[in-house]
Amino acid sequence: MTSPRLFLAVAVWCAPAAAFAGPRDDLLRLVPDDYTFCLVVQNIREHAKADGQSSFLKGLAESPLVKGYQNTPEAEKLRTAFESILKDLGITPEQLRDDLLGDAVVFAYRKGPPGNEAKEDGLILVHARDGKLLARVVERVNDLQTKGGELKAVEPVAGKDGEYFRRVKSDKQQPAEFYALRGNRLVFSGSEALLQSALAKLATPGDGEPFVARRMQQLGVSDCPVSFLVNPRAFDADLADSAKTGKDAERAFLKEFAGYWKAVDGVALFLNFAPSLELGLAVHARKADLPGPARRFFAEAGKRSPLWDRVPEDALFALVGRFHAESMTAMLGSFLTEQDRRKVLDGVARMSKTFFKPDDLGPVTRGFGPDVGFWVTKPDAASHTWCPQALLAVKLADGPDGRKAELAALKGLDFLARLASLSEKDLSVFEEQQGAVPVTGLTSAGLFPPGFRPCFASKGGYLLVAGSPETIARFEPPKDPPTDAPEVTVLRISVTAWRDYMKAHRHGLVEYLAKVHHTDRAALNPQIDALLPLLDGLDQIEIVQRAGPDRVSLVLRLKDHRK
Amino acid sequence: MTDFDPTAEPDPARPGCEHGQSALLRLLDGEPGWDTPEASAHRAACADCREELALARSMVRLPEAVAVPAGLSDRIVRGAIAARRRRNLLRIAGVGAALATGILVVIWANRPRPEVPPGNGPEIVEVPAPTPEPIAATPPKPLGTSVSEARDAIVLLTKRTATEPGERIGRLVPTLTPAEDPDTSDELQPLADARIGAARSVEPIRESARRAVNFFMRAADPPDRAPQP
Repeated sequence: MTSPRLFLAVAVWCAPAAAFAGPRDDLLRLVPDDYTFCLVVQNIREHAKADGQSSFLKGLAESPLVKGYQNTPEAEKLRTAFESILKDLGITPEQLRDDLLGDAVVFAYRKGPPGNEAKEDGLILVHARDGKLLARVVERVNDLQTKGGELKAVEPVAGKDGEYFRRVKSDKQQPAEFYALRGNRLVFSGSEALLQSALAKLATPGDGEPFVARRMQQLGVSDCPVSFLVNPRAFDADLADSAKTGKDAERAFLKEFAGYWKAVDGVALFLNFAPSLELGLAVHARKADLPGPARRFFAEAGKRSPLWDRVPEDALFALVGRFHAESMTAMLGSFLTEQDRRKVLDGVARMSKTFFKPDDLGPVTRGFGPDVGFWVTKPDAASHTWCPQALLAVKLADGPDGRKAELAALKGLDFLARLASLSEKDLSVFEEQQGAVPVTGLTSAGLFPPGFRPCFASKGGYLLVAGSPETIARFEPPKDPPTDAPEVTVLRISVTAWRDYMKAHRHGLVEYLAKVHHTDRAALNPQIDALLPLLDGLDQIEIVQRAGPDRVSLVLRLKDHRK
Repeated sequence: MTDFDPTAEPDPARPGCEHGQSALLRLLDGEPGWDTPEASAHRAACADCREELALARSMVRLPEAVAVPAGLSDRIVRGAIAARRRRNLLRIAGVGAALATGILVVIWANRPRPEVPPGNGPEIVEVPAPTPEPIAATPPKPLGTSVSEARDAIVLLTKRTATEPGERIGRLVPTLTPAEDPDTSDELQPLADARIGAARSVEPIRESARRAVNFFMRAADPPDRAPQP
């Protein structure tokens, strides 16, 4: 093989590793494996461009509420202080964002052991695009603090792995700080031992993916600009200690919780800017180590319910999920002592006596779900009402348990409707037949908003409770089974639909709210006017559940119009 | 003295306050022997319980003819818990708003400004410069002080953005009072106890997170005002 070819082969072979060992991983390999928290901020330079395209952020910034905050004394103080800092350091905001902090910044914190919390330490790591600028800024900070009397001296220390510096405070009671500059990297710590350990790692070539980077990969937050990682192992001893004190019920909960906690390998809070704004919580747990009911509950909850096919795209609000009642009850019950579990079940059975006999609690629980959905839609234009239409749909299981649950629900709801009509003279019960489906409900000209006639029915294997019989008539029971999906929507709010609704029906809604709050419409209008601009530029708000290998994430997503 | 706010902290986060809180409930129920030596000793060391007692005393200064309905204190406490839950929910929503505001501050402070080409911009009228008044020379502010001021401003701004929008929304949302079933309150007590266990299970994380924030914040403080751990 000729030399150029050899170089090419080596370059191709090394390329993935070079891409892998980016600025972030370059810092993460310095984080101790027994960290407690780790905040990782990466690639802010590129992500800031995505933020600039967000119509929601633009609308939010121009809203009267945020503009109001921009004029507060706190904001003014922040602006002044920020400008003063940049002036002192001799850098521009763009240099700060792009050249100093734009690559990666990591804060790692290690808590003290239980009972000795003050024995904590931490590490601040910066990977700057411009190493010379970083060195200049560090020197400037030292200089300013020395002249300002905050620092007594900055002393060089000849360490085993190269030189680092000790920042000696003028106040003798304040401990010294330590830092080192290595190329584009700044390593800063209040603990000399931690700094030395980081420098020792820097002096040796990295051996594969850093521990924290691997954890980020498992949690699905590798590409997030901001992620806050929690190391569950740092809290094992605290949880074990907690479970030793308190009432029986508290200790039972803590003991069971500790079992679940041991199965958790990592937890992260994260923030994403593109393609949408996302704020999420990710948990990585070894499914095999979770108790059986929990595995079953999460497996069902991770599937997409066919009820989503029945939710109109422009629903004002929709909450749909799969709640396996039997495994959920077993899972929650495991957090109680046997005696308490029986006591609670007796209480629940007594509370539900309107609907079924106490002995039927088990079959009825198994008979409901797992598909459950509740959604609210704009009123029909023809209905001449401002009152939105709502529907609650609960799947009834096939077989005798489902039949038992259906009878219990219909009997109980019928009883409650008739009881309500007896206690309120303006209420009356109505019954109507929609083909083979009997619908029962309540009507009142004086008490309910126009168009609101709450009713219930059993249709195509679903128990339905709706705001009007027309909503039940429109519901077509889904026939498809639930499906596995990498991402499942749990909640969806259409902001676009809300804007249209408010344009068309604001008057009626404000009158109703004024009645409910016993206040004047004039007092509510300014409140709504102040909030509405916050929603400008936003299309949809969603909460979604994402699944991966041994991982589940719950994400709040704000969809906006991007350029 | 801090402002008393019954919704500010969940009871489980105040382990050791059981005696103080039990005494408070007895006082609200009008029991003559409401106080105990344990509760009294606890209050001597607990500012929160002292403040709550002061408030409770002001509440029970009612005319003697007014009959306090049975279980009144229970309902007050339940109402306070419901209000606290609502406010906590709004605070969580507010944190999102605070984050967004934080992002905005960075983006808007750093956004590229369009340069106005000469001749195309608005007409500029020259006004005579005002006679400069003598300004007393102020010594340059130490860097640590500026950093510390920025930090304080961020904390205050975050607190405002995390609470005010939530309170506005709260004024529009109807308050729902959960139905009560006094017959089952005893049977469901284990759930309330388990809830305390749930709160205690996340307490180490919450406390460590608080310490971690303080730990890194201390690095930004000038020596004369660095808080104690």
